[in-house]
Amino acid sequence: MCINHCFEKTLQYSSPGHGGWGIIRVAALIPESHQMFICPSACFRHGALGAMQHGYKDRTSYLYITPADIVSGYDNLIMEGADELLEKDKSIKVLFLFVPCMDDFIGTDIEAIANEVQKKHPGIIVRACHMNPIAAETKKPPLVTTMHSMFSAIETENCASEDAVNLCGSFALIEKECELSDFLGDYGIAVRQLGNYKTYEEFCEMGRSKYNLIMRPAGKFAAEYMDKHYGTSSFKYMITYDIDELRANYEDWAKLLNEKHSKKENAAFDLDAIEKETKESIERAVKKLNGLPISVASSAVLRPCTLAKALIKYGFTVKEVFVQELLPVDREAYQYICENHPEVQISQPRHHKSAVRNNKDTNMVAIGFEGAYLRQSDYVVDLSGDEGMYGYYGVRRLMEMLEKAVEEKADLRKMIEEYGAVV
Amino acid sequence: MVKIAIYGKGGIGKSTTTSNLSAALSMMGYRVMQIGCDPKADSTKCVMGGVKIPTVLDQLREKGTDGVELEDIVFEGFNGILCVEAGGPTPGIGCAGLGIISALQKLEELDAFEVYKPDIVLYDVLGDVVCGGFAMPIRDGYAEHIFIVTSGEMMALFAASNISRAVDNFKNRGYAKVSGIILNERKVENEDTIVKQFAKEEGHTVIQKIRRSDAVQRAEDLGQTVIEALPDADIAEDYKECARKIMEICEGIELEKCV
Repeated sequence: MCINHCFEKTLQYSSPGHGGWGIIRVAALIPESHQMFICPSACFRHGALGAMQHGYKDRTSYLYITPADIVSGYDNLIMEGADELLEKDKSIKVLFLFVPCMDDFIGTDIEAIANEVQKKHPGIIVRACHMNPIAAETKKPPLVTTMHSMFSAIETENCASEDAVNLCGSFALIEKECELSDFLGDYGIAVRQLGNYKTYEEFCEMGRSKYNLIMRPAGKFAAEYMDKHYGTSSFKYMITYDIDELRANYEDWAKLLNEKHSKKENAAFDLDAIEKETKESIERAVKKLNGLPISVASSAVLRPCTLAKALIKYGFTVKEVFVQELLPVDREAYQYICENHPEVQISQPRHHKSAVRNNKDTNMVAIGFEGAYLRQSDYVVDLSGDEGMYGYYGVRRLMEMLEKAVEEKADLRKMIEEYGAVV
Repeated sequence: MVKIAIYGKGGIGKSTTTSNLSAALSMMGYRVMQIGCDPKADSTKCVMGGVKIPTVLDQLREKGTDGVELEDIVFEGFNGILCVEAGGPTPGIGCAGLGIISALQKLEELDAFEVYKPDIVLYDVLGDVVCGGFAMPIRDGYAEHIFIVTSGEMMALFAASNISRAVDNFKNRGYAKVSGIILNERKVENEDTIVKQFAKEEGHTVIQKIRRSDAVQRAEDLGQTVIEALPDADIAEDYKECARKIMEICEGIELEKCV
């Protein structure tokens, strides 16, 4: 059942539960990088607060532009500002020049300016970035173009020469306990991810990887860039919590890898055993929740409808799905729910009508802060943006989180503050 | 692919020149795409048989950002010339420069050049390089060559000088370079000398003089270029010669091979 006229584009309500990794936090994953924001003084304030909250204050700078500068053009001010910054802070190896929507309107060629700054400062990588929410619903929203700029900052020799996979589109580290390491390790392939690097030089090893794994759509553009410029090849197996989809993905991927890599004799990855272990964890969680209604929000996972469908299949009671915009990768599950489970409410969390609520029944467990806030749910799974989740490991962790969540009522405000969500 | 931008003062005859160059180049066997970058959206009218085509901005307004396909904005005119009009805002409101930016970005997003594979792209750009939007066609990745259309009139030369200066400002950025001046004759006293002197001072060359002729008006009344309507007129020869010289400059192609 769709309430709030699903997928309408209306005035948006931004609840305290909305948010995830802000652009500053994402770009700061490149070690020894610095972000310079070129904007009128009213822009980027929220980002600035988020940067302070996450401890990136010393890695961000602001160059304020006045109305007079806008009329006259300010290419020279950007270059002078970058010169001053690079003169003051010799530790910067990568400089990101961020411009807001305004520069889309007036046609600032920030890419050309970044090239000029780089020419003037040999040894420093300078990349243009667009923090332009006006592009949020286009094919190149700020997160996508920023990731492109981040991966284009790689400078290395022997591109695409090493047996390794770059994880693209996910920001939080995926732990070694995830079976992905064993699966790839059996073929002698290493896992490389942004959060693992301490220096810019170390980060550049991602350019020497032969493969990319697109885990979320945000990483697609960056992976395509690497395929084109570094000669990598990309696999696309998005994050999912559906164990049938997981099996199909691993079997498909193994076929592709078998064509070019030989598998170790004593393989560590045992699909049947992992699936069995995962099914057991699902059974435990289903038993523990004992029919307690669940809500799933798109702030928690990329594909909330796909997760809801999987949870229903596992035997959980799903009451509501919060999804702002239906992604193509979630459409099939959405249609399945609409046709087979009309009791499941699907609503847009940022629809203006979400601002007016009457929450009579709070006895439910919310996966994600956004749904938790809107329904004031008693129990909350503090998952955001599929962080750290992949494969069967992700399913087991989610089951553990569900079991833990129902043990005591959540202090949602504290949870949101501790997470430091940035809109 | 050769990408060329035609600049010059408003009303100097850029669209007439560009359309006739498109027609002449198409007759030489090239697949040509002409992109009008003017809110008036009449650059390609004479290539399209006197019909104004829907602009990119019109289609974006009507169909939404995601609803526009290439066939909504690219139209085939005389001798297979591919015509696009960027369009612009309602006079007095909005931003014409942003209109050009949006239109060119949409063509890029839809891979227009990869799909149609033109040999030559001609950007017909309104007036002077007055803001970032009007510099868009000469940025890295767009046009590589600029030809400035001017007469011997003072204001036309003033605008041509501004364009030349703007291009000079961007010389470190890999932008397009001015590859020549096209003299569109207005019968000003000592016009040839004045324009040649101007070109010399700016460090450019006058590549072709387009003689003044009423054939242009007669062809336009038919909604056609001179090349199409009056191919034997003297001025048609000027356009053909200009097209040949442009290709010589841009690609160093031997003329006979193209004819």
